[in-house]
Amino acid sequence: MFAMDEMIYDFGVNLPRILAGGKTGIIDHVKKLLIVTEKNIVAGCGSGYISLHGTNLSIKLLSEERVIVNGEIDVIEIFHNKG
Amino acid sequence: MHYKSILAEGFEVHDLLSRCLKQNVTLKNIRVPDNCGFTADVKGKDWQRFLQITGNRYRVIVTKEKGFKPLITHILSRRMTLVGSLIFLTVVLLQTSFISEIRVFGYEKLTEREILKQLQEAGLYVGCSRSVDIDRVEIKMYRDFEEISWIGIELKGGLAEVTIAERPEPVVTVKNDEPCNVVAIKEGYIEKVIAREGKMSVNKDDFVHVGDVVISGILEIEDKTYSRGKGGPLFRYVHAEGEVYAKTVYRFICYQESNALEKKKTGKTVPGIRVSVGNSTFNTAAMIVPYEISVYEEKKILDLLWPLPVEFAVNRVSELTLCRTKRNQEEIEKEANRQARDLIKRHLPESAQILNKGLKFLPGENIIKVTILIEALEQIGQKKSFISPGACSEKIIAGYYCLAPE
Repeated sequence: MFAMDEMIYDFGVNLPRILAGGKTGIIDHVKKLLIVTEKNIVAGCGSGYISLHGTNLSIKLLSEERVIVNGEIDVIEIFHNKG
Repeated sequence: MHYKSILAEGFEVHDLLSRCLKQNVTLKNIRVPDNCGFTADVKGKDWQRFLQITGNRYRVIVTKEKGFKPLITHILSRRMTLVGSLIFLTVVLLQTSFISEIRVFGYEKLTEREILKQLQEAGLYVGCSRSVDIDRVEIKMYRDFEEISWIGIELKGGLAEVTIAERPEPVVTVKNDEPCNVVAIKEGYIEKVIAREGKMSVNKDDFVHVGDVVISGILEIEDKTYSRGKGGPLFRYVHAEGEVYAKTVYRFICYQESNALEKKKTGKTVPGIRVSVGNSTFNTAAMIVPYEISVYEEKKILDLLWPLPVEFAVNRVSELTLCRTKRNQEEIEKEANRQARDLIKRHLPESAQILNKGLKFLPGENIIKVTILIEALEQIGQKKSFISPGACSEKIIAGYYCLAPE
């Protein structure tokens, strides 16, 4: 990764960012939540959206633009605002 | 940390969560089972702000409170539990602050009551503080209690273990110029009397009790040269001396098990290893012992001290079965002889000569009573002054002629 890309990644507070592994997913830069159910969680991250599909999803922590999701995550989708 | 578990009921749950996120209200463990509500944990410090966010659009029910604050409130609200706990703690504190029991070991001639009484005077008694100065008690015991030669006190919680060693009885010696008898210090049949000074007052095979005069130091003057006058017979007091050998009988009773516990290997074994480096030991036998009764056998393969203290050994844990077997007479007699030797060593003087030994077995249900009779030849004579202390001591000196004492 180039230095510029890294800087954009680190300092781009409006970019959707997710770190997922095992039964945990950490979504950063969350501005709002659009859908919260046990099967689907959609979070708005400024310039895009992150959608998680799975089963038994729950939010373990909701604090300071960060959402920690627990459960069986099957699908991660990222949508960008175009316009 | 203080959390409130809540159940929030209302529509557009995601909107409420978004507002919480925006206003930095921390929520934990959010579960949204349906679209009409959710459960979550709200931090105590965010509680008021959360209520402002929910407003009238949501119904919030507190289901549970978590953390130290509610725990302390809960404990403080249960007064009787609190009082009970305090009483319990006080009892434990009292139990550990005072001596609740004193055990005395090592006494033979003294009684436990005597020792406890002396200890009480020295400051150690049941109910005294545990902070009692043990050194001071020991010094006081040495000073005031002449019967002991050593004392050790160890505190184990509320238990004080006192171990003492008694002072051996001082041998009463009779001065060489003081008249005395030789008396028997043990019961027995007289075998031989060697009277070097004094008159033999017993014959061979006579039975003597403890304290009986064996060699008398009071000799009647039989010389007819001089008139006796009106005072009756004249006596001469001498310092009696000699050896008295008598056959003494000792009777001891001891017990033996009539059955022996025999251990038999079943054939099942678990092999293992033991590796020791310094004080650290790894032993597979300590971890895996599948048998209820087993025996551990080990063979050292490596035993080094330099450059490292390393030991390596292979071991084997073998399963055992226990069974009771009747002991045969030979074994019982062998054990009885061993017991007899042990008793002789403990109770008979070293100079005693064993003349005869008899064993009598009385079998019971599970136990055998063994009566051991030992006949020994030993010196039983001891000098004993017949003058009471202070009684005309300046006149009664060995060799002087005096009237017989009453």
